[in-house]
Amino acid sequence: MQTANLLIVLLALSAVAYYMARGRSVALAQPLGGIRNLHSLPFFYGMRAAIWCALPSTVLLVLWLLFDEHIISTLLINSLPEGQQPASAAEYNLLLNSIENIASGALRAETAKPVLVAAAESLKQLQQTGRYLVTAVVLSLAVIGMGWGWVKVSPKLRARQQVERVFRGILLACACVAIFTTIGILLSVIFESLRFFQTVPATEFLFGTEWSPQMAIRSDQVGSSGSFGAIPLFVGTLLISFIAMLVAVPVGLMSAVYLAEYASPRVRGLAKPALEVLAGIPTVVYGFFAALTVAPFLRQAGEDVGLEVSSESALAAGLVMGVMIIPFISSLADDVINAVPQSLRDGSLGLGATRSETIKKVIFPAALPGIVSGVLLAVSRAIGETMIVVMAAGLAAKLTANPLDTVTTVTVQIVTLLVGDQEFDSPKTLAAFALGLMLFVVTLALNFVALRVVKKYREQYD
Amino acid sequence: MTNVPEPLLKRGVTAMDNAQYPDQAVGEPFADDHKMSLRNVNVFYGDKQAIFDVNIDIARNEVIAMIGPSGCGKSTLLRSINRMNDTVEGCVVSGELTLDGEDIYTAKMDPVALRARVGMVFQKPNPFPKSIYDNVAYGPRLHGLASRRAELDEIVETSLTRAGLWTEVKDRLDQPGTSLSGGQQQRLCIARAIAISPEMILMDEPCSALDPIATAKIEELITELSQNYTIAIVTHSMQQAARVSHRTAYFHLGHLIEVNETEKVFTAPEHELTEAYITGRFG
Amino acid sequence: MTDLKNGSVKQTNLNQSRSDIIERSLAKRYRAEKRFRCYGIMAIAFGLMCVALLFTDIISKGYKAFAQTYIQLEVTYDANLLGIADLNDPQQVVLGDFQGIVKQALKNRFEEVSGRKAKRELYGVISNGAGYRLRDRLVANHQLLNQSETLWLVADDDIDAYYKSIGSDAGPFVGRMSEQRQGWIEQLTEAGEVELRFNHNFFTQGDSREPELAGIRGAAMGSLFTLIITILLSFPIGVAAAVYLEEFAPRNRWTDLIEVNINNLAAVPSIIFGLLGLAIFINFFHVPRSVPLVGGLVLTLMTLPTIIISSRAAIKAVPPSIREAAIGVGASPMQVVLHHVLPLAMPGMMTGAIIGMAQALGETAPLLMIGMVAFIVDVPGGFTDPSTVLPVQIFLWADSPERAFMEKTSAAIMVLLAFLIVMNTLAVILRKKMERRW
Repeated sequence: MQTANLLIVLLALSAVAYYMARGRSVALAQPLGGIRNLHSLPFFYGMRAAIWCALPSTVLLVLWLLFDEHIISTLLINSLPEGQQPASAAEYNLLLNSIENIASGALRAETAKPVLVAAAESLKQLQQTGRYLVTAVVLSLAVIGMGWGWVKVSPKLRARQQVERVFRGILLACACVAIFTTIGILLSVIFESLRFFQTVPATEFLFGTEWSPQMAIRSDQVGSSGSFGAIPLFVGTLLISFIAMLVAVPVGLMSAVYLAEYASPRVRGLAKPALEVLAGIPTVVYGFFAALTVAPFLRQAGEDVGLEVSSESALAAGLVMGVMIIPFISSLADDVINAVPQSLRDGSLGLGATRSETIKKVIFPAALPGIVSGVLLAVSRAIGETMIVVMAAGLAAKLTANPLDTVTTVTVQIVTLLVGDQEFDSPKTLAAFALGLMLFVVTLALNFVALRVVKKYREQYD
Repeated sequence: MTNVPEPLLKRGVTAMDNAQYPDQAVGEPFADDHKMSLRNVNVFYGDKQAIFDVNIDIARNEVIAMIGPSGCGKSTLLRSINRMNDTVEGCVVSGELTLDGEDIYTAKMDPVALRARVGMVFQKPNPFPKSIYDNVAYGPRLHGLASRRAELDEIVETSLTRAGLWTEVKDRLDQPGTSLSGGQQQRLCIARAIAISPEMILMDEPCSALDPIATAKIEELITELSQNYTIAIVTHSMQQAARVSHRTAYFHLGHLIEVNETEKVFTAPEHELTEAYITGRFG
Repeated sequence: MTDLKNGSVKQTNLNQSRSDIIERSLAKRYRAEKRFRCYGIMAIAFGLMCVALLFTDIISKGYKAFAQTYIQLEVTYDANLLGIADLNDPQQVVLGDFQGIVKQALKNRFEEVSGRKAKRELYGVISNGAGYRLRDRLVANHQLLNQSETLWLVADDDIDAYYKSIGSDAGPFVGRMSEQRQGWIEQLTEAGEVELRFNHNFFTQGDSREPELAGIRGAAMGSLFTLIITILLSFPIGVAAAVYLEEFAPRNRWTDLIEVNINNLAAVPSIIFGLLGLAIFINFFHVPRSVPLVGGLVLTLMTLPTIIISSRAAIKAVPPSIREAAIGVGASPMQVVLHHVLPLAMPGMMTGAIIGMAQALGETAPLLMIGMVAFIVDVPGGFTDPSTVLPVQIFLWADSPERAFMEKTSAAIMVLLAFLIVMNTLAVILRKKMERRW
């Protein structure tokens, strides 16, 4: 049975379980003098049965869906005759692939080895059996659960507590998804990075100044030996982020100050949402804008004054990224500026300070921790930003600090290394995960520090 | 001066209320040698009137206390004396307010310069998140009152001494002002206010956030400061008004009811509303 | 004490000189004030200018894509030319040379054209996709075989670009237009046999290598399926997590860890989620590549922190008095949550969910990692059909060398922005509705 259909059947079964158990509890209560003599409301008896019916079977189904391919392919490969067993992991995948292709008809059966054709047959068989088996097991589990829920209904049963315990458990599991996500991220990047560092030493990766990830596919090929020194990428990333900050910090900060301290409510009501529009625009749109409008414009402008501007200059990407980050900085700055108590403003104005003096000498110093952490968060955003640089920055890993030149960034390289067909085991692909690890660690550190500072700051004025 | 349309003046005031209020404050609202004088002062927040037609003089080197039930507009009036109300959206002040004969609400009078002459101490101690030294030096630095470090040091020392804080903090001038206790913080704020040697100091319930011992110290300080400064203090505590002030003004819902020698106000109030208030029938 | 009294006269003098000092520096201080204010205004103006520039740039580049140049031709469904003897044989219909009858029609219209090169020029005037339309018409109406009809056919993208730019200030865009072609267009224009019509293809077709045939329907459906997965997973999980953290979680290290985790995840670059999807979902769990299912899973993990954070805020806004009242009449914690907290917090949670979905709709980078960048012509029909999404389609088109794709890209951006504006407006309306004073 199809998974979706199976789920619908499970849903229907648990609804049946609910009504049956509920009805039984009401019926049991009748001779005792009404449902007030039950331990819990009939609703809970019904829910308890529904949970017994749906939960174990769904868990089983999900487990099966997660691991069915592993199980089936292991069974399949083990069933191959001696001598046809794959020697390495790569061979294993290749073999599996060709069997699957024969089974699906993508590869003509007549041309393939008879062993593989047989294997393809048994693969179809196994898949068929697996499906039947899992449908049968899941449905019988559901029915057993339903029966159990029905049988156990009695006036003394503490149904409410049990249902609430399950309810809490589910909530906790949902809250833990966040933890699992982090663990998943860590596992995926660390695991692959370790494999990468087996071929390329970590020191070379971290301190090398040459980046050309083209690896020879066969060892006898000449030319591209591949070098994985990530310094040019780090420098490129920092250069573009720096340009972005140069735009975003002053503009974001000053507009927040103006809106919070000077603007009339009417101006604020109009300008604030208008600026926030910038935050809602997808990054791919910024990328398009940077690559097709800003970059050609800068190039032309550079030509007019006799400057050589690359058509994929760091400047174009950085400028547009800065514009993207303006609303981010300004809304964070707005928060912290508003958190500075009015009494401090009054104190300063009462001493005869002008507004700007009050802002510069009292509000900024008071809000500094908040502003700094806002900037840190913005930097982490700039470093991790992908689409703008993928579309507007270059691919050539040049070690330069010239904003008019083309540079590449960590995110650009991750995308280039991973987009398109790739083998999962080549150092080229693994390098992307090593870069991902760097990116994750750096942004995590920045976020962690920034969030802590912000929290401390909030507590100070609460 | 802003002209307020006639109907606006009457809004929010019922005939009943008006009947109780004297057209003119009873007692002695006027003084010959006045530092500050207010004539026909009305204050509005948007279309709500907070102060109705107040006439009063504040004499040189006197301490005048303003008392009255909450929301009677005493703080509002105080804040219009150094134009702190300018910073409030939609606040309009009409009437004539003069400092040493100069109208403070003309274009010629600069609010910044005015506030350097009329200092203010607030309800909650509000030291800046800077060092004790920088807190006191803030005003003089703003206004360029000291050209050399030594001068600034002297100003800081004098101001802290006058605020009675010098001996307590002289060894830790570089510590943040917020590290002091509440009473010390308020004295620091007073030191900060007198560091620019204002001619007049406005105090908006300066002790309401303090414990009795700290309050006593501040009150002592006020008495001492009155030798040199004209002080207007808004207070919730009638005892405090009795202890520190020379004259007392009683406000009721934006109207000035009575101004008299402090002793007279508390022993033999002229107006029935004043009497009702000090005997505790409302407030 | 006496000291101070004697100082009174000195004080007056002091006051005088002090006032002078203050007066003197005032002008300078006010100039600084003005300057500072000016910086603020400039910052706001810069931001607003960027918004305006971005929108005008995109709209001016893209509005023309909603119209398409069509050329009127009389085509004859010649059975011999098509090579179709029996219309009921699908094989024959598929192999039929429909482009051939378009060529024939062009040849008939411009009889004077001769020479192989010129003819090839001529055939290129009509889009390569015109044949499919003829095939569909013929399949729908078998009577048409060997009949003629006059039809408006989609012009090639070069012709389209040229025709649209006629009469513009900079003069018509010549590009890859030979003078010969320009002459033909002139002829057609005079005869009223070329015109701009609403571009149906753009909204009803999938991607194509030919700009004049490319549409956003495939990408839009891909986005829809991806978002359905995302909302179905992230909203319940996010709300459940928020309820747990706000209503049930004990204050301990474990809870702190979850909280810190969620806050940090909200700031993790989106591309990292793409790496996660690639390594875990695709390589470990063998979810197929390029399908809305895996895209939805990745976007779920990405939007979850946003939804949890806003749901928590919404739950926090429910006053404790309501919980106390419910507990006071004997409700269990679960009943308090289900009967009182959730219904009251729902508008706030939905606002958060819509904002999260808007984020997901505009997201590109992680989807590149999981193979949603493939060139896919067919409009996807389900959660496991290979597909792409709107922002990725924009990315792909922006990368295409054909000039006509720039127009398409901008138009696709306009559609995407329109969706986002609708979603955000909805969120604002919900938030307004939610602003309730307790």
